[in-house]
Amino acid sequence: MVGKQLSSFLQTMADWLPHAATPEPTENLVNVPPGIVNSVGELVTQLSIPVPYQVTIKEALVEALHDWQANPEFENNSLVVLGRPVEDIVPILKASLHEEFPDCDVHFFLGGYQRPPDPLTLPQHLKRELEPADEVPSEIATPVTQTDLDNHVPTVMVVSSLEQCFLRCIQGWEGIEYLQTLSTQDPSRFWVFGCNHWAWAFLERVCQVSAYLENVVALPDLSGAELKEWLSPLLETHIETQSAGPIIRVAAASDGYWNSLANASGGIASTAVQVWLKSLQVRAEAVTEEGAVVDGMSLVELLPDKPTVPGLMPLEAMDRYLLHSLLIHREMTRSHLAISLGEAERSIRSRLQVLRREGIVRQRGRRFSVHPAYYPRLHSELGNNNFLIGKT
Amino acid sequence: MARGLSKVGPRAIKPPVLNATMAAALIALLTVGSARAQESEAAAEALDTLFKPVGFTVVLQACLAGLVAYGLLFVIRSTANGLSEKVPRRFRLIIKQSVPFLKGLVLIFSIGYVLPLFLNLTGSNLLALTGTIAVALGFAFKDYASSIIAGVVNLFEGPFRMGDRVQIGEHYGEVVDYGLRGLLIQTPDDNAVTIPHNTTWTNPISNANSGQLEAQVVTEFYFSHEADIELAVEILYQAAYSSRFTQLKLPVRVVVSEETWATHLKLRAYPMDARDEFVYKTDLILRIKKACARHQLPYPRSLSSEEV
Repeated sequence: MVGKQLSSFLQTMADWLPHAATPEPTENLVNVPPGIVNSVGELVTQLSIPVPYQVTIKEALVEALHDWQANPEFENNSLVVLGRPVEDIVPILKASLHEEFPDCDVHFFLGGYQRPPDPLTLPQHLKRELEPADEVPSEIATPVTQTDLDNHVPTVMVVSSLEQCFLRCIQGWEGIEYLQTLSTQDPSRFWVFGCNHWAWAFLERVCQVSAYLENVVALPDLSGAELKEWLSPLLETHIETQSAGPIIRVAAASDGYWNSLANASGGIASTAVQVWLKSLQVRAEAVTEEGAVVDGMSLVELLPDKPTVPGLMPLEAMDRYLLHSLLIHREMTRSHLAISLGEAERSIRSRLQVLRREGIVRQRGRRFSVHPAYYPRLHSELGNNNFLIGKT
Repeated sequence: MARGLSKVGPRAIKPPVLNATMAAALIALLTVGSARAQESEAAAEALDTLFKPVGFTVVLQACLAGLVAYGLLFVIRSTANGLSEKVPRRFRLIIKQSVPFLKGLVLIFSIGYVLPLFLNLTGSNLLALTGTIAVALGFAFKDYASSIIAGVVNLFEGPFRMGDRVQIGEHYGEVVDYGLRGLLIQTPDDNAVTIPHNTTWTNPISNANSGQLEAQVVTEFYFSHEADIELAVEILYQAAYSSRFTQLKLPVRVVVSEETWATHLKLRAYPMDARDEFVYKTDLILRIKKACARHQLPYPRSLSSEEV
């Protein structure tokens, strides 16, 4: 216990050292021009979902479906897939379930769902979203079993993002209670829910969600080899930039590099890719003093340097509350953030702006979320500050 | 003493009986006088051996030791105060709680270094010194000594530690310093109150967090008898769970009791940091009042003089 506290303390002390996190570029390596980073970053978004994620979800679903079909009266008719709050679980679930279960009738709900402006209307909102499927008269009154002679296929209802179905405020998790009731009252259908570890830990405390949704599977931590395989389409191939600029080539890296990347990122795909992008360097002679690519250069080689997660700025108390709320809800608007913190919107605007400027929080449209690269450090920062946290 | 008697003895045998009686009295007086003289000589010798000769070097060494000790105490206090406010909460109390022990170590080593410079600390000398000190303290520094001893006892018994939120007598606040004579608590009104350690011999000490980060906060609400109390209880629970300050790892409880004029609800919950107790209570009250207004939960009204 004392040893654990000591190591955690030493880790925190190490985190404070601002230069400990960022490696000094070696003599002939400098940072990659932002344009090139953006080009590679865009290609990263087109990568398929990591295979270990898909395999884990498929195996868990097959087993849960099998158990439910074998014993529908006693087995739970749901599966919860847990990811980290910096991972978008919607595409992960879609990639893992889409066309992979021909023997099932899979329905996706709430794919790009966002909370209504008034969080108290969430149950009605969810009802409206799920009602069309509810109203379809089911031909099967009882659960489909393996011995079903009519060849009816089981219906799998996928609710992609549970964290969008509640807000941390008084009466803010009635939407979750609605979903609990909906799934348990209708044993003829199987339900798959996506959620993040932090939201799950919170919901477990406030409405004992695991009592209703007991089958839970967590996305695995990716190893160095798995990360290498996932990013392999971008390695040692020529990447053309959109603006008819030079061709980019990412050099190969050792196994040690990939293991370091896996360690630094905690095996989280979204964090790993950001750390990987940040670790890419370019030879000094390839860029001008202004940081642009030298004219006439047709090929720019990107060399992976030591992968390290970026350091955190000194956080104020309000920053921690704000980031904790963002991590629980994964993505939220400023007004929802203010409601969840019990503050006026104008009170949090400045701190949100500072965090956005520092790159810890990112904004997409009106929604804010935590930048994946900062997740490992935020996890230890909030854990050491006595917050209820989810898995690393 | 035997040698003295043998010198007087032969002269006492020769005179007559009356003279013999007088001689006996004289002998007794001489004997007592001689014994007293020898005792004072022995005491003087003992003092000589108790105190070492004091030279300039010794005084300089003692002064330097005092300065170093003072400097170390200052460094410990300021470093611990500065560091504990910068590290994550989890480590704040660990750092604060180490301060009294570190200060105690510095004092013990300093005294252990300075005393032998002036005194010969043999067993008998220590005994003599202890007796002298005991008499001196008994008359002049009784309360001071009592405070120091109480401070040491408190250190080991641990009714409170640095960083705890305690109520001693009429004073409530966070223990921010632990000195030789007393402790310093910082009240919610930002006053620094020094309480001598010997106060704790007789006064009860109420400790809100006992070395933990969290301390229970009780928020009380009164509703009219007509109010939907189940709904009110639910609102209180949800207010605690939804407050950003709440330590969700610890239980939240609502206790209901009935008064003649209202239904009394007590919300017991823990903030993540005991220091947030007042801002936490404010947050809870604001949230609860807002939700109660939305559901039009009636509060008890004060009776008019006619109704009374």
